[in-house]
Amino acid sequence: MASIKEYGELYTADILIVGGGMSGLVTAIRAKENDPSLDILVVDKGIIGWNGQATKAGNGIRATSKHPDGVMNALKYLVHAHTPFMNDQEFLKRYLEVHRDNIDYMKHCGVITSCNEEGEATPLPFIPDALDMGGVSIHVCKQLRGFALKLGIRLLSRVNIFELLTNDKGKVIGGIGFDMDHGDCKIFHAKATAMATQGCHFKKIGLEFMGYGTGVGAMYRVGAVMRNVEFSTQVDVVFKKTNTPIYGGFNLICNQQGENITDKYIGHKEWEVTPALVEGMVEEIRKGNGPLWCDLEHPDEVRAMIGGQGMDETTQRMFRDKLAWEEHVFAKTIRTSGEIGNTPETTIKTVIQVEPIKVDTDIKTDVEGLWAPGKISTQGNAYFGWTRGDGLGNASTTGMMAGDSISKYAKEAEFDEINLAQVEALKEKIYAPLNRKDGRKPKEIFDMIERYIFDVNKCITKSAEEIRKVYADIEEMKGIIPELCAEDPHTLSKCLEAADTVLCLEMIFRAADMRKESRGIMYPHYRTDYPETDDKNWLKWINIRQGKDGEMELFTEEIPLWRYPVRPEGYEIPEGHVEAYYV
Amino acid sequence: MIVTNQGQQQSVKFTVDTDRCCGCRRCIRRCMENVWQWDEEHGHAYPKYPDECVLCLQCEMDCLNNVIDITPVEFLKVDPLEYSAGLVTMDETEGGR
Repeated sequence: MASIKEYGELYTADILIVGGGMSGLVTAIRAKENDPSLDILVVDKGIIGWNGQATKAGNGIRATSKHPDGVMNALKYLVHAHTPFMNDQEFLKRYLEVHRDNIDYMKHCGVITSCNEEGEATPLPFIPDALDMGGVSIHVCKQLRGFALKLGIRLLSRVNIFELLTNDKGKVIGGIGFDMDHGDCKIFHAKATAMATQGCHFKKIGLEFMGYGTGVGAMYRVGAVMRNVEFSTQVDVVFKKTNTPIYGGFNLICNQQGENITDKYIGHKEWEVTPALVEGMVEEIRKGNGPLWCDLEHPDEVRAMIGGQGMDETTQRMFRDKLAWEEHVFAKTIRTSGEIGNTPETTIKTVIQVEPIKVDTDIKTDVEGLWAPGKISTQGNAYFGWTRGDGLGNASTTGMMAGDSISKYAKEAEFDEINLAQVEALKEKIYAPLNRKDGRKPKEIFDMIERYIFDVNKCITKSAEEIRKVYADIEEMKGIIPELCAEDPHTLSKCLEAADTVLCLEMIFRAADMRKESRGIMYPHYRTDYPETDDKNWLKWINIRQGKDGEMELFTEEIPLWRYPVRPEGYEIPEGHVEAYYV
Repeated sequence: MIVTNQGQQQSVKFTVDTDRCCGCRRCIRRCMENVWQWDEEHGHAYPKYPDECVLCLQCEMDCLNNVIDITPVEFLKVDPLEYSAGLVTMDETEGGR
């Protein structure tokens, strides 16, 4: 009889955590502190402590205000702030309760913050008594790594996990992947698994940090449900010279005649870069009124607030060591391209990111034995559980929530038997590109996807016609995937990442096709053929899962606003339901 | 060693004084995109996969002997506004398909 060792090196742990960034490490620490007897293993494709988006994130970290009404104040703000009423408010309330202790817990874990001498963060002035903010060290993951090691958490760096193992009932019991240096197969056997792998970001431009969707793909293939994928696009106004954001400068854009684009196309100041503003910018270029420029000589209140000018250290967007990094990057940029000036030429930069795993108030997915802390579930949990500029707060808070839940589960759970036939099939699938002598390169797929980032008509202002064109491209890319070939562990990773990036792209456009309305401020879903918000028909989530036939399946779910405290004006409880607040 | 990243919207030139590389491998430890690898034969780190660079410059900052110099050559080949307005296509650019 075959042995598991014939397929690869076997690691066992009570809890397997895939992804050793901020959320993965906090999940591990919290679980271990809850139950020191648990054997916890964290695995990352890079070096744990120096990798993860937190080591590059520019912003501070937030916590819910300790004001008695802090949770509800923050909840009301968040429901309206980004993608109105698409939140799971039950999740959001629980999140904000845990989020209250977020910065305190980070300090407990040895993370250096910029709180004042009393240990207090600074209230965010534009949302009274709702959210506090502090700076956090750029070495946050290194500090968490040190704390995790002291607790006896095991860390395994340079191993990339691409698929999840399941038992005969579909429960997740581990994962499989390979060592990034030598390509050796690694198999993981666990009672419970958390995928803290970040979502899928489509970029080809500097200083955008990539997730490649492999965690999303692995969870999709074991039956996890995805949600809110249609709200995946964010756009920034940037310095054309350096392609870096002009924070809060989007109301200051002018054409060559000196006309202000916000005044011309919108008529009031915006607090985000909206589809209307982007359409206006494209229209000006089309008419030959470009290049567009940003009037930084006359900053407005939006620029002052979002640009962060005049903040003291406790409220500034970045802690000192992060500022040193930013200054290094900026100085290098200036040396290369010269001074930016006060009337810089401007354009846009689009970020598409898919972070869709649906989780409950314990960060548990719909699949037994599987959790999804961190950015990978920010769309799926509440859209969004975090506010703009609080990716770090989301990572730590969801890590705390997941750690509490997964430790209880793992304590009671048993090891289920690994199915060797499944291991063999998954290993064959993972290594297939390496076994092809000739074939296509993943760069072909990434180059095709790159076009979406530059095409406003596909990623910001969608229509049925443009979506059909994307479907044709997706089919072409799907045709390339079985021909991808690799020569080493790095290019093998790229092949697998390309395949899951295509999967995420399909999710976005299938969901965007289904949602026949427009909604959202940050990460908006905007359809030129359905430009209005339709609360009558679309107070629904669009969920995605892999169907029994292996095809992508979409289904809607009514948002239970009859149970939620924040509702649209004029909302009527649908027939068959009664008002029953969960709070 | 000079390595140029090609075919992305940004292009970057890596200049690495490999003779002075002390072998600390901090660049390898730091890079999230797996750009840096260790050359066993010659005993130094080098940017094996430069196309993956996202220009964070943290390898450069972490380098103990200050032997890495990353210079952006071009930040953006295609302007998204011009592309979306139909004034330019990706095929017309060096980095396009």
